[in-house]
Amino acid sequence: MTDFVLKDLVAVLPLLVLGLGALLLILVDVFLKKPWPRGIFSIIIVLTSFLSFSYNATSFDHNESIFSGTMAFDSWSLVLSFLVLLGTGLVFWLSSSVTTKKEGVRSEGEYYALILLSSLGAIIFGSATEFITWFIGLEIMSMSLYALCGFSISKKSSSESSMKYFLLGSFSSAFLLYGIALLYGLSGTTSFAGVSSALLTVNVLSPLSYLALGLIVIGIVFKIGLVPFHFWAPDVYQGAPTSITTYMATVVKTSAIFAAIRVLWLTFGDLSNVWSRALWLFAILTVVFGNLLALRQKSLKRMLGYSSIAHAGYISMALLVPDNEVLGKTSGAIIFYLLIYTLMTVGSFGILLTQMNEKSDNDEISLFNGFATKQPFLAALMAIFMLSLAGLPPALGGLFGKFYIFTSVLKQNYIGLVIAAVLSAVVACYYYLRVIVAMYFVESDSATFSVNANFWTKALLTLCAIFVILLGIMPTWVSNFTYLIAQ
Amino acid sequence: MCFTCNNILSWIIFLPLIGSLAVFILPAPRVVALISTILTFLLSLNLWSNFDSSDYAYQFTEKFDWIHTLGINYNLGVDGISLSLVVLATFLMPIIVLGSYSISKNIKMYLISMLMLQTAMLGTLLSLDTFLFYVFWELMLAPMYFIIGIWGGKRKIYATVKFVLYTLFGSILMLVALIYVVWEFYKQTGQITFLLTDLLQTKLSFKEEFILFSAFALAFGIKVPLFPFHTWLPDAHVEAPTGGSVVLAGILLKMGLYGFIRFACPLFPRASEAMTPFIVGLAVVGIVYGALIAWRQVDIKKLVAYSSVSHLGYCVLGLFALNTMATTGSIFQMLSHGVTTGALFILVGILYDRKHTRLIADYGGLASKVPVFSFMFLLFTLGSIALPLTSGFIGEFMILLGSFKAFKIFTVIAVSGVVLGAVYMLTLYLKTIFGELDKDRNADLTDVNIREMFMLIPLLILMFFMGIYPKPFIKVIEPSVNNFISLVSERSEYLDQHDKSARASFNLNKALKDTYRDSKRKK
Repeated sequence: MTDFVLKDLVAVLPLLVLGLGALLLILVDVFLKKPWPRGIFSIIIVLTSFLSFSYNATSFDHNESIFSGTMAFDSWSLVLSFLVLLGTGLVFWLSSSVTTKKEGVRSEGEYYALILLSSLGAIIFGSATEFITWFIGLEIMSMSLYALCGFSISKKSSSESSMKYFLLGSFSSAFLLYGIALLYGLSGTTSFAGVSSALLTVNVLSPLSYLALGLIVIGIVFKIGLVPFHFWAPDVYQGAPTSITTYMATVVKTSAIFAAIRVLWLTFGDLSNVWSRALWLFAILTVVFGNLLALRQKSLKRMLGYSSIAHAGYISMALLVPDNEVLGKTSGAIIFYLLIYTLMTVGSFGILLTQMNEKSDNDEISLFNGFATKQPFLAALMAIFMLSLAGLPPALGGLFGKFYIFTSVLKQNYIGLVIAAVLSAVVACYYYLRVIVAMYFVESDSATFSVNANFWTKALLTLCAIFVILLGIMPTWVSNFTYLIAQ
Repeated sequence: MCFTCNNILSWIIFLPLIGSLAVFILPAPRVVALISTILTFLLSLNLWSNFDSSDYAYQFTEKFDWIHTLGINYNLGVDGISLSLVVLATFLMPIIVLGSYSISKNIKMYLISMLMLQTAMLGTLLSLDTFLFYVFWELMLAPMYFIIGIWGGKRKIYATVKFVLYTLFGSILMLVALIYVVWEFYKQTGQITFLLTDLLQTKLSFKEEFILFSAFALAFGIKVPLFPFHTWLPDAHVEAPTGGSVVLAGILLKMGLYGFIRFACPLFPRASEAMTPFIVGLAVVGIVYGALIAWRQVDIKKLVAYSSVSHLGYCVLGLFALNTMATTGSIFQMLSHGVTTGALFILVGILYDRKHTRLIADYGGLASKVPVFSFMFLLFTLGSIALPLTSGFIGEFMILLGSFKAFKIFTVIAVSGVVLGAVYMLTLYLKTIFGELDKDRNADLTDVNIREMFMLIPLLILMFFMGIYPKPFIKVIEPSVNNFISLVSERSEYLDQHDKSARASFNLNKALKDTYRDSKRKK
């Protein structure tokens, strides 16, 4: 019996490291009055967590459920942990080298601790197999974020962002809870497996189960940020500190996508004809409107916010085509897309971050006029990220991401959806290219660019760019790597 | 003698890329770029000398797995058609690099863009894997986007964004069509592959073929550009720097035609046959319309740009006539157009570098002031209106002769473009070169310098060489053209065997409705 519990604990060791590390960080912060390298400390926590993760990934049998079936320890959760830890690590790297000073983040100890806790929640959210645990994971993730959004206290928009996210986020949580309650009422259990078998044994689905499934889908879709449940996203993304925006666009989205995979594919896979129509509608609305709305944005941060909505749309297209293995065609496409998307997003937000300052909120695209002549290196990196987001070579990563998704979706004959998606991808090119227009084709209007992108920031951005290109040339690396994790 | 013959095609494609790295690192970027482009040209000549023109199959093929799970290969090969275009592309590049001496702003980046563009173009021409082709095809966009956007004229941003969005709009639908073909092939054989030779075995119904061909034709038609999709071209040409215009007219436009030859027509032969009157009709409209519009231009560069629309109409006409004479002529005309129009753009650039205006009204009576320039201009003007002994004559003559067999009325209308061509080019020449030197500001105009001579003389020699002794070119092109024509007709028969039903009673409206219903049922 003790062995059993011990094994469970070892399986969640990465999570324990994150949680305990966060608590330790706050504790040390309370006792040390002076500033200390909190960023580096939190990166060390993430690395430790990553080490225990790799130990887990290599030394355990997978496909087990742990803690009496409340959480899964399978290939999915391992891949999710990898993506979340990667995203968190990159955001910490970005934060410790630039953010905190530029955005008026005062209480740094809490800042890092909350991000660590949020990542803990993100992993639980994506690997829970029981509704209560699932919900707790979601709330740990979201609650930390509600606070984090308001962390640039010198900016009003930051508090607004925090409040908006909190209100709408709680609202969507209420949807989820209501759905969970209905499912519990229908099946008498909260475990995913139990609910799905209970629903399937009834020959005709009752209207209530449709309602429950619908509420849960809406809750998830809200977290992913698909149209028409996207209204919170632009304001929240714009107001939050840029590193937190990056975090929301990468880690939170990844976690929500994996939660969607677990609920929709693995639990309600047999009911796919019920949810796929709704999801089809959300996906097509998202790719079309996400891109159209991004067209007219003046603020680069807001534009990238809309673009992240559109990218979530592409990924959710792939959710329409379930397959059961991590290495299946569709899930491979999703994982590849999420990985590339994380790198592109960290890169583009990172460059935006180097040019912001504490005093003004200015993040307009015109801020970048003439950027290429003043900062040729950063401009070249930004151009790579923009081309990759647009899906154009030579930054092949973005192109392959879209290509994989479209290939897997076309196989199910969703021709209309794919055509809508590719046409909006052309629209998307317009606004990504606007950034390049500003940087390269417009003369600078005597704007001064801050030069304090230090070595570490540049190193991070360069690494992201190199991987965006390399993974495009050798996309098989990702599937090989996923294979390595999953087996 | 054959250097690096085992993977000569990879060397040709990636030598410019290596060159662009060298430009980035080493000082004296122009010299480095010049060396790299000349080396590439020599390598392509080496390729030509070792090319067996009696053999119509792909030669010097290279193949290895790129993305195994999706059946995407790195597969290269060359036949007579792509060989001639490769040689044209590598021949024009050193000239363009020489032209870069008139550019002072951020020269390194200009040359890097040019060299990357060359890699992309050569890759497009030499790919035999459809996905590899698509990647190189898209790769042509970004460098050109920067070339127009950074070193362009007043309306450069409008022009360059228009260029990218137009091209992208077509090509991304092509990608969807391509994935559909691959998926059909997978359903039929259980084998997933993007290799062109495999995909040519795909069985498609006539309806499918029709829709897929439309997607491909849109992508290639925009690039050519065919008549209603041509509006990006004058903008791009006028705003682009001289080098950009040369590469655009010289090689990029030919990619659309090459796409028809290599991919669209062989993959969807029956649809391309059914659509021929439509496409040729558009081409003929383009010939006459382009010529008429060119006649009324006040800007010299815009005039040359519209003349491109007109000239490329001939290429489309000859290509779709699908007989040896016309199609060979069409490819010959592509080469010839690359040489003469490239030279005309260089000449316009020479004027613009000195006086910073391209308006016809700002010039006049230049003959007395710049005799060498005027003489060069005369020769290339004559080449452009296809006077005998110049390359243009051979191309247009073969096209018109060949396509008269296929479509009589279209060809008769197209001939009027020859006359109109003479009208607008000679009018241009008359207004700018002849007469009194009556503009004071032209009094200090200097003649063509040595560097510019080095750019123009090779083009001049090639133009007359191709006009007087076209045989070496025709000899390379013709077997591949014959192979192309027989490939199309064989595949057409092959498809007919599997789908006898539709063709005779083909009704577009009904076909679209059926396809829609099918797709709904499958869902």
